[in-house]
Amino acid sequence: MFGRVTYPGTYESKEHGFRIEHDGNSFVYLRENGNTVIEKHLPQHGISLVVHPVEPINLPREVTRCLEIVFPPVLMAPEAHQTIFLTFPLEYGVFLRTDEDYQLLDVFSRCIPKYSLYGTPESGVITRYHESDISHMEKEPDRTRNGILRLEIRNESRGWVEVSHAVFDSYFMPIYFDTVAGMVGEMKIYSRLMAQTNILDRKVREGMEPALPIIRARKIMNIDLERKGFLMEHGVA
Amino acid sequence: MAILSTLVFGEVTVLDLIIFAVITGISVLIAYVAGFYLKKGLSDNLRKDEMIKIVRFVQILIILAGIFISLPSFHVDFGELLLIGGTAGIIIGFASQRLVTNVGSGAFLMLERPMRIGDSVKIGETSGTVDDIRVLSTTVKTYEGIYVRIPNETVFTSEITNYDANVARRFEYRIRIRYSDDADHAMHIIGHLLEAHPFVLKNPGPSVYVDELGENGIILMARIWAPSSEWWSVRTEMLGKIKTTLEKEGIEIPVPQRVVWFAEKTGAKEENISS
Repeated sequence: MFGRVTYPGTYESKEHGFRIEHDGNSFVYLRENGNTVIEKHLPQHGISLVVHPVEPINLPREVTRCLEIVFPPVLMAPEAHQTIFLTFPLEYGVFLRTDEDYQLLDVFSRCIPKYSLYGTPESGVITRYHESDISHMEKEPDRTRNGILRLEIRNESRGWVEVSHAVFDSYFMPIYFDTVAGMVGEMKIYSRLMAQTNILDRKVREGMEPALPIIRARKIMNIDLERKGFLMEHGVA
Repeated sequence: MAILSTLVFGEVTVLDLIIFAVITGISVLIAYVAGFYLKKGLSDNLRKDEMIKIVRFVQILIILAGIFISLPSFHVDFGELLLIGGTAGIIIGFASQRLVTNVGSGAFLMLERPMRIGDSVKIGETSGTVDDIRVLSTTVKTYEGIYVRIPNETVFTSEITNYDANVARRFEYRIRIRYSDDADHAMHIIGHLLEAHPFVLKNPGPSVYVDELGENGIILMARIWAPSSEWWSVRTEMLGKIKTTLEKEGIEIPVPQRVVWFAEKTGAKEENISS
């Protein structure tokens, strides 16, 4: 599902719906997308092709950098800590890779994307919206559509809080994968209205490999640190 | 070589002028090169308007630094320069009030930031996309692709509508169907279509309801929120889809019609009169 594609050479992935064909002396990448065909001509030498899970904010086109996950409400006692397992929408990135660098070639997904507004039109943010089931132990999702998010929630307030929303910034969103894509996130709740979320540079389980991030693929030399995260100022429920 | 030491004015020689010109020229060249590399390096990382501001700021700094370095060749007394500059400033200010007003308005616009480069705006009677915000004027590219330069004084005193200031905006459709059609079914179809579109926001969600029992049909209202950057494409795409889907389901948009009744007795009365 993820990993390296044999290249140079012809290839067809029925699972992902793309193929690589000979075009004279070179190769061409083809993917059918509705009524159109995405066609990109590839360099013949010195590259490899990999398919990795990427930050799920790219389709149908990028309008936001925030991912909002909505889940059944969780009640958190004052100063309590709880770990839950959620899902996130899966987007596949096809990358061209050389020894030193890599370049994004295409992104596709089996999920139907949906967007939402977190907060108000004046001060809120547009988010990529995803509804998730909740589980208290690691459960295999529909791995062609969803990845696993292990979310560690800490209620740092002195009152009970009901949580059903988490918004994450994709500028630092390390995704790991084996047969399933996974992320580890944390959420510190300061009040019913305010929480801080981060995606941590950790694996959901041992043996997972790090996915190539699109953000770096675009050469954004951003020093957004793991700790920066996203400040949810418009409520957690 | 004697020509180099020739006095041009005061204590300034031809050599001083050459040094000034060379240093200033080099600084302009460095500013140009730095601008090129900055644009190249930042174009992937920043929004266009922010990138232009940073590039201009760095270029101005480099040129000012060049002028500052080359000034000693003029044997400038900075105290005198400030005095002369201050006096000249007042004179120029009086002589070019309009210009100064535009510069002041430009400065306030940059501070207040009612719009950014790339925003869709309406300034007075001009609608379009902000192309540039300069010291003296703001340029707008209208939706017809026409370049319009508006003095900053006019911009500052005009009503500015910025369609992109908020991250999301609402638009609506009024859809008329026949009285013989099932309004609930029509609303269900429209709601389903809106739900399936990625950029019709989940929250605030779309609302579809019977708005009016009109003269020629039932008027349904669909209110939709979309990201400000996408609303126009959503609006144009969805209206066509709604029409096609409703027609496929046998729900039609009615043409205006009027039922006319004739009194039955009229003919009999006419008969009596003629006999």
